[in-house]
Amino acid sequence: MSRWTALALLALCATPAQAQTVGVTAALRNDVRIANPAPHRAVLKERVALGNDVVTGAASAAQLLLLDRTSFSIGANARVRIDRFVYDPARRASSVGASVAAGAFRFMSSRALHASPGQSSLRTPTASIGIRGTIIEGVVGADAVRIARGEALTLPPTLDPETASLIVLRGPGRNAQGTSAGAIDVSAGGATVALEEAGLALFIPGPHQPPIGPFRLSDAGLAALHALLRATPLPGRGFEWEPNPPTDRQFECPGGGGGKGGGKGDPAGGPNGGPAGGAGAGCSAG
Amino acid sequence: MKVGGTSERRWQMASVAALIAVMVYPAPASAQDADAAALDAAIDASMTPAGAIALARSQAAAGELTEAAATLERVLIAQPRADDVRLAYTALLCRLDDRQAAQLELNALAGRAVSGSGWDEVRAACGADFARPASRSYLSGQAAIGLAYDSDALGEVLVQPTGAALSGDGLAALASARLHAHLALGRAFIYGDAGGVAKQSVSGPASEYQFGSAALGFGHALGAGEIAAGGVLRSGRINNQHYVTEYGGELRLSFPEGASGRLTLRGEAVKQDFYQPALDGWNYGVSFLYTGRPSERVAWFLAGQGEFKTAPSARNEYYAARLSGGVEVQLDERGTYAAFSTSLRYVDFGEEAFFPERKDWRFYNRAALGLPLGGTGLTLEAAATHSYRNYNAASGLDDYTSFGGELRLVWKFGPGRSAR
Repeated sequence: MSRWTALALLALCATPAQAQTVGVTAALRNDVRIANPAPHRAVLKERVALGNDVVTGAASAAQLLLLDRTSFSIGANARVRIDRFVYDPARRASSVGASVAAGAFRFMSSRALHASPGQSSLRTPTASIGIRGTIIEGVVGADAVRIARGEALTLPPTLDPETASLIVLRGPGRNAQGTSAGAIDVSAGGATVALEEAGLALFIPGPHQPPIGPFRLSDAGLAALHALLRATPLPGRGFEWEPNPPTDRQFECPGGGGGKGGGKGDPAGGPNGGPAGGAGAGCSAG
Repeated sequence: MKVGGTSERRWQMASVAALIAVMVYPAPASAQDADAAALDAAIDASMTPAGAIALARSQAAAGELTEAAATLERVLIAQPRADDVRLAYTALLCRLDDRQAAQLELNALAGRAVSGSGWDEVRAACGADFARPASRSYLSGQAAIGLAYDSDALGEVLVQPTGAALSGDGLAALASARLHAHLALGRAFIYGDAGGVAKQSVSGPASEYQFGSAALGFGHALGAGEIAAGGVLRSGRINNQHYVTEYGGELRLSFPEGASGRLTLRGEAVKQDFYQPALDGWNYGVSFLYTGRPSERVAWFLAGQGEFKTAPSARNEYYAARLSGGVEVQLDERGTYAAFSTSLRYVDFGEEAFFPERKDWRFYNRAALGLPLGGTGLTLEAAATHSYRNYNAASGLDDYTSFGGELRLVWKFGPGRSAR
């Protein structure tokens, strides 16, 4: 066995250790795929390993639940990956590194992740987000541009609809019960902006460009972001049956004739609800 | 293979040792498995809305607010119509001090059935001044065209005297439409409903009719429910001649009931002008309609109606009762559905000397399968129908039975459609 053969074998055998399980698929809607490395349709409670790409299609969504109970939800047309995950259950401490290449996401750190503040991060094509224990939402791509356009921002001509990122600190807020307030540090284009108040957002128009903001995301902007993350019910009346007038109502003619063109009515006066009608008095068949 | 020197041998031994170590070292996998199994258990416990709410409450009680939120979020991803879960989620967002998102979730519940206890939880977490769901304006409805076959088309609207033994199968063109409009004015609203159905003979007996109805009124939110009143107009034609016109008023009271249902109580009084003055009079009706959606893919209804009609002569007056029910089940992600509905009506006419006594039983069943035509918003619907009328012997009328089939192209629009 040559030195290189032995190294290759070692690398091959080491692969299972590298394919470390970091979480499971906790909720799936429509088309969700996992590439590990070959893409396949995800099933509920499927193990997600370090480096697996999780990809959603149109009108789709998923929630990944990491081993430390951090939750990572993604909306339609998204692509995310857990790049780094360290979890010490004994100390209830963890840190996560994840990347979002496209689509909308909502990241909620667990209590274990709070035990290692500043060691977790999210990465988009244009920004790096240092997490200090928090709830973050965002979107990467054309939807980020669309939402940003509705926020009365002055957008530069250099914005890139493929990689533009919108980052929102959602909480917990300062008045949250029994948990500390969330905070993030967003680095992009050589600048770092700290968001320490829930509801504040930053827009990064493209690679190597500094963040625009912070600004408070409007209700309409938040609604647009949430619409990407999951479906909401629409007001409606539910299932309605189709009325059948001859059954549901007194909607009938007295008969007497027959066949096509027949039906002359009942000259003697139809019994009760079968109205007394004669030929030509209306309600005759044919 | 040529074996190398000492250095090579050391590499071999080190490699084999490393291989063995990698293959037999189980600890990290075991720890991962245990953690993942715990997640599996949490996911299993939150598969139903009730289970998720219970789990989220226990997590929140333990101070794990974000875990509780994640529990409810995964139900909302898979079941956007789990209204009680959304309500519990709204309360949790308030506890996380995200009132903006909480209000958004509450707005998503506008016009939908939610439980009273859920509202109490929201009020406790968000404050009594927290805005109720904003009313939303919308326009929804459906239109359909197609063909219908009836094994006895002749008797569908033609009542035959005993012994006539006349029947005839026929093919007819079928068209129907329904429109619901809701214009929000803060807590008040204006509503408009319109609908119609028409059947035109293509072959076989000329048994044709058109029936249309419209309602326009004003309503106001009443807690989680609403009250509305308006005018009603209906008109029907049989075999291209005026049959009846009705006009009057209605009063509706609608409120959420149970976990995912809604109950509507309705009363109406309409003046009826028939083609024959002997039938003219008033018609008074009270009805209930319960609509339920126990899961994202299942919807059902149960309706009942009591009715009294006046007329110049007792023999044309009647009491009537109707019971209807139906269920619709979505079969796949594309929106393929199966639906079944049934309606039973009993009519008891007044007695008058020298005229035969009359009592009717009317029965109508319809089973349908709908296949969405990808991306067009259209659905091809095939249905089997069964109609049956039974008359008491003294009435001198022939019973009626017909089996039929329908093939329709249905276009549904507006928020009445399933959430996607």
